[in-house]
Amino acid sequence: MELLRSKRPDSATPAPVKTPRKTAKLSDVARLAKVSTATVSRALTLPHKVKPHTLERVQAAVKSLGYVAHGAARALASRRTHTIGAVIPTLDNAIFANTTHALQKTLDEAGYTLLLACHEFDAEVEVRVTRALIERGVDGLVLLGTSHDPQLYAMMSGRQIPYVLTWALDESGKHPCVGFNNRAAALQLANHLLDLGHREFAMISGITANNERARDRLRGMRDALAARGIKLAPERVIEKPYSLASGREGLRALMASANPPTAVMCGNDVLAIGAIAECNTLGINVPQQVSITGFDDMEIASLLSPGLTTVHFPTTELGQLAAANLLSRLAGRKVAWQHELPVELKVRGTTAPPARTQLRRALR
Amino acid sequence: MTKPTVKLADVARLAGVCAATVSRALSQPQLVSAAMLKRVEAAVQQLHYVPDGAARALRSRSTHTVSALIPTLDNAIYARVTQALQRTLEASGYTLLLACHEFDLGAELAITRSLIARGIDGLVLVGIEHDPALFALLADCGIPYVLTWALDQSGRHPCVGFDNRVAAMRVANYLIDIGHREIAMITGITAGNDRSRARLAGVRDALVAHDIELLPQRVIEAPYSIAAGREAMQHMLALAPRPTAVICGNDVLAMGAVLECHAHGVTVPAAMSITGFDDMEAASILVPALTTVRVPMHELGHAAAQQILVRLDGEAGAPVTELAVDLIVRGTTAPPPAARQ
Repeated sequence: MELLRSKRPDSATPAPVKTPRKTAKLSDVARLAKVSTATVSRALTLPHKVKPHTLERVQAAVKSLGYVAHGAARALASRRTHTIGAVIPTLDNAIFANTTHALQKTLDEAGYTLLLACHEFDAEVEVRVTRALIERGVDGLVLLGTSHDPQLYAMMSGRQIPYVLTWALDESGKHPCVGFNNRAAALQLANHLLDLGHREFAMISGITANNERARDRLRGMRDALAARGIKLAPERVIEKPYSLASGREGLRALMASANPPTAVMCGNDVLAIGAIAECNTLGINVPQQVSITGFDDMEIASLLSPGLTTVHFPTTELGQLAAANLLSRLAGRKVAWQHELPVELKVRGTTAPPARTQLRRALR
Repeated sequence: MTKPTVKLADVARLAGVCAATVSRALSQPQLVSAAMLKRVEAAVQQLHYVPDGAARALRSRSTHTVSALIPTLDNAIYARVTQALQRTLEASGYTLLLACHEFDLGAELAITRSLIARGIDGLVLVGIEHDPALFALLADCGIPYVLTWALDQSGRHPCVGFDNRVAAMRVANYLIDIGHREIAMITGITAGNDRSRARLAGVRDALVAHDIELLPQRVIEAPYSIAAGREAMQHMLALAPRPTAVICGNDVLAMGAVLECHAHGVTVPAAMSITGFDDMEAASILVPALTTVRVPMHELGHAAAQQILVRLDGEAGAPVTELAVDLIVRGTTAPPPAARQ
């Protein structure tokens, strides 16, 4: 199986980053003296404010490294920090947590520390936390998704900080990315349900504002239905934040209608698991009375009974590849501009032909 | 002889607040309480302080960033707490940066050092056990911190948490009360994790108090994952005599244990009682729903943020904030088969 597809192998490769200077820096002194850089600064500028034995250690380190205090601040700002920043929507979704975990492990092995910030799906917070990371001197940044405030890109290019977008593919071709085709994944799922005979569809979508993954999944579903002449009525699309409780609420609202859907596609596995739990509560049989699907293929999806029909996203590989992408560029190596990772439809126990089709088959 | 110029630190000393608070009072008075502002203003007046260079002090000393060092991102165990932490910090104009140490206390020290070098105002740590050098570093740099998820018995470090041992005792006592004697534990990895150790100790102590021995083969250490919970449960099911109740170190392990019982046709709770710890959202949705210990994740994060903010304002803060945890009895526990007969 072809894991990586380089879409634009000939396109401009992000510029490699300058190699760090060899001169001893404030941080080297701090490391050797086993104190914070703030303490080194203090020892050099306000020696009377520092304990005698700390001062001695700092002075010894300064001597042995041949450190020149001049321009210390600039060195602090310009040196390589061996820190990568990642900005993700939230930790409260095991799937982001798993990708970030893989990212961190790969960076760890290369001697880099990952600093993480969450924006909780708030574009303003995203700008603020990204700025905080840049101010802390990160060597590179990993962002989630392709919809970002233009300010973000301006900050990163202003400081020449290499970055990679993850989870989605940038259609503009302007930004390096490692991700999935969310629209195609939704098309696959919807076609699976259409092939089973479903015509009455609904979607419990994630919040689509500032989230192209959610938008692309909804778009893919709409496109698949449209290709077979089926329209998705507005009341059949419910937008909810990603949580089990949202999945429950969404399902209840959809099934309360006079003409309930026979297939409910959910924007991710968490929503789907919530929807299934609500079906259990309401005494609605899954998949006999309603088929339910997710996205992501979390660890729990295959372990539930019945197992969740979903789309598998190789999220561990995603984290590893995002880390590898930045590490390669920091080492001055060329990398593919766009990595598309394959997704895979996982048909399990929560999808079946709609009840009427079952009846018709039984009568045949 | 010229009089030495009054420095920000002098104002801070007179007002009895930290330099960062003086900076904030001068540049963003809306972020400071009225009483604090009054104290700072009085000190400024008394000392004839000219806030020249205050901005510079602000830049170099206050970064409006707080860091939290969590053990791992895996399984979103710490998600709820960090979420609440972030919300409360943000409301006061602080940004939260996270880093993970994967239960490696040496890595934790190295990351802390790098964070301090990069500029942070405060630090939130998970658990009580840390490299002594870490505490020395924090003291040396005057960085306020708070320990979370557990209580520091030594009384030396500010903490927001609960007594993991007592909570685990409560779980074990409940199982003993409903008739279980054959009890086992799937614990999280205990190395570098004082919460895991305290939970194991609590179970052991409760059993000993009832003259029940926790047999070595009935204690399995597993990393916090569903797969590890399944694997450990598989070992438990193969034991003879087979335990009738398995206490799990957290909900993720418990979910794995329940699923493994399903896979082997062992009915939960009729043939096997299983308990978790944490009360993650998924615990209530499992069928049967998980009996577990509810950790008030939101309060924990919120209170930890508040303790940091109070200290950043130069106030003392509470040395210990103990949160109540509850045993939530749901569908995965019942009397053992023998007791029912």
